[in-house]
Amino acid sequence: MTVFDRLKRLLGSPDAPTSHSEEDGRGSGACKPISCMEAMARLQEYLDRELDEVSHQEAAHHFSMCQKCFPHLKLEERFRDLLHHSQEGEVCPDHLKEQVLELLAAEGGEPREGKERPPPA
Amino acid sequence: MTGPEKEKAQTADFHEEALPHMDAVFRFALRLAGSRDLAEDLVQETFLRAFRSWEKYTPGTQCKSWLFTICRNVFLRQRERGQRHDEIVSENVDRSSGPFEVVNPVWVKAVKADPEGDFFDAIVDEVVLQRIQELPEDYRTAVILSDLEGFSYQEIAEMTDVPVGTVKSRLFRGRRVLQGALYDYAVSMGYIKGTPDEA
Repeated sequence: MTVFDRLKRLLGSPDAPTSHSEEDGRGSGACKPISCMEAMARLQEYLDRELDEVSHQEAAHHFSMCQKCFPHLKLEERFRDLLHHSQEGEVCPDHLKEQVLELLAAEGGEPREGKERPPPA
Repeated sequence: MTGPEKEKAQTADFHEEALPHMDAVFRFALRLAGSRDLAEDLVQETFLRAFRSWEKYTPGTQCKSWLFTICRNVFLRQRERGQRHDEIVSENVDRSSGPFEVVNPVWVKAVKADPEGDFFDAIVDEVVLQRIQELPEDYRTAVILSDLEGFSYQEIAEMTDVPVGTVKSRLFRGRRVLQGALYDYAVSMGYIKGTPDEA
């Protein structure tokens, strides 16, 4: 099963044809078909989950059916994964947490007794 | 509640609500400033200012957003004080100002050589951080808040005090600039084959 097939199954288009022939996503009665240009225009907001439900479903259906637009969706997702994972494991250094607590204590914040540990994130 | 009791309660609230976001604020500061030294200064200043103005914070609201807003304001003020003229000019030059193309030209090129986007696997975090740092500040902030921190358009608009439409524009353009930079890097490193006109 190709990535294209997996995404199509994931997005769940119950009445979607199994062939890849409908490149513009037309032919489904589930939601209004949209053009490739419209799908591309919605791509960012689609992945940001900022579209209304109907627009989101229309875009999802198009991307699940269109072999021309799907690679763009895939690349956009890979790009976002790269950004998101680029900060994995990045935590505030302990010495900085200590410094912040010292500053707050000096400002009249809760006096620190002994070596109180900063709260976990 | 007496004055000292109130102060003690406020301090306890601050420790409980604000301090758990120290990792997130540090990450944000690091991406914003681009160096650990600057990020550490930013974090200290952010929590100090937040503590001093804790009375203005509404308990139970988005504390992380509030801290990020303070952090960005501190960063912008520091940058304004220290920025040289040539840096300002450079930022303006790097900004893409043309019409926004619906179809991403970078992906059009990438699809031909690597439709699965496997070249992304070869790009290390340091390069991503560096390229984010090279974005104009307003693009950079929008990309960090959305793609790294997961804030909505509306939340970013409130944090940066601009309309939602401006957030979208900054975010979309910032992503395009970043995608182009990462793609060019991948081509230069041989992670993806460039098209003949760019080889």
